[in-house]
Amino acid sequence: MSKEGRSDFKIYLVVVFILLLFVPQFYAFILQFVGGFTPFKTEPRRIHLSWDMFSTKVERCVLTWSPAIHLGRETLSGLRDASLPLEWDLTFDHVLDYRNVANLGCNLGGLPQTKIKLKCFEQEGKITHEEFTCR
Amino acid sequence: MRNLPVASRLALQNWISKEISNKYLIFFRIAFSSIWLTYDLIDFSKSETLKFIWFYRLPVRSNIVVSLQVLLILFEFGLLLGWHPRKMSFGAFLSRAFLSYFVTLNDFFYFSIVALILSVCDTEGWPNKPKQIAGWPRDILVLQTAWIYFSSSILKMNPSFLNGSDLFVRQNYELAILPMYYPAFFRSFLSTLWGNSILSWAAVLMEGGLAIALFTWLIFPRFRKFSRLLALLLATGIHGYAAYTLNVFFFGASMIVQVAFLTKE
Repeated sequence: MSKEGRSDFKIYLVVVFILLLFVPQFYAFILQFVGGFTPFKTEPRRIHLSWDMFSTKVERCVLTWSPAIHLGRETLSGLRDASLPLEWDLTFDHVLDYRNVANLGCNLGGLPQTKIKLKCFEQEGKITHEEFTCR
Repeated sequence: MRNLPVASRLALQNWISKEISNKYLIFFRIAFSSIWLTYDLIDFSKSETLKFIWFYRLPVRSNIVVSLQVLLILFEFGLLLGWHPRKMSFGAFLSRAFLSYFVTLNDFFYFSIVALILSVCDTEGWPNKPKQIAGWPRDILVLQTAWIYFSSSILKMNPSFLNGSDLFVRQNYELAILPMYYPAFFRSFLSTLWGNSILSWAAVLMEGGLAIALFTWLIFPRFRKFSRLLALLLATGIHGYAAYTLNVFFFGASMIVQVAFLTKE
């Protein structure tokens, strides 16, 4: 291959690499708009590679079991005990998910009288409290 | 107008053939692999990803996840030592990309993409013995960083983020669970929606500003000193705050070293 031919080939390779890298990301970003996101009007949704960090609606709960439940070798008095507190803290995006995990813990390692407490932080600055027993 | 394709091709050719010293790319390779190797060693030793998969009821066998994590750690270790860094980067990209197929975290997508770009970048050797290499992969890394901040700031321009709802939820949850010190005035500020709204607007402006600073660094070499300084200040501010109140450490550290080493000439 001539020097010019090699140079052309290198240009094509670089262009193909850039396209492979950015087309999926650009497509994911456009999908947000197609899916209904409008700046200042509607929220985006979770789309991989659109870099939607901290931009989708979430709810968070502090979940506790009393007495503590036993899952395998672990004793958990709350979901907080299930993972490392920094960086790896286990979270879910909706109150319903926390209720499901609370019941999952109950079914697998709780007692019928185990009490579940949920303190939830929701949209519009709302804080709610729930208390129920294993069922 | 007939000369436009020729001019574009020439510009592209000049950009691709431009050479730079790989000193700061080597620094970046070492910092990037150190950060994520630490992350994966802690994650693996404490089975954090396996717990995540169990609680989320994800349909993937644990031995697949463990195998991918072991591979990832080996590739990251090789990358840190500078042993066939291109191959190690590509291996790390493949392992993390497979892992992110099951565990769809933005941090994992970010890692995969940066590792993929590093796999076309000559970062062999140590910073005390730099050499001249093709500069375009470094520019692509800066462009990638700018794109992440740009799209992230645009997507944050939504009612629930800007009215403070989102940060209210995240920060008050962290206040309730984190064993960290927060002064009383700061706690009461974070308990208000308006306080979180101010922080949200600041986040959007800072992320947008950081994206502009990085695009400026790429497009206008004359302003590189100023745009680098601005980008560094904004990145440190954004990720320092996120580490303190939002429990995000590794991604932030990785983004700070990315801005610091890739914009240094």
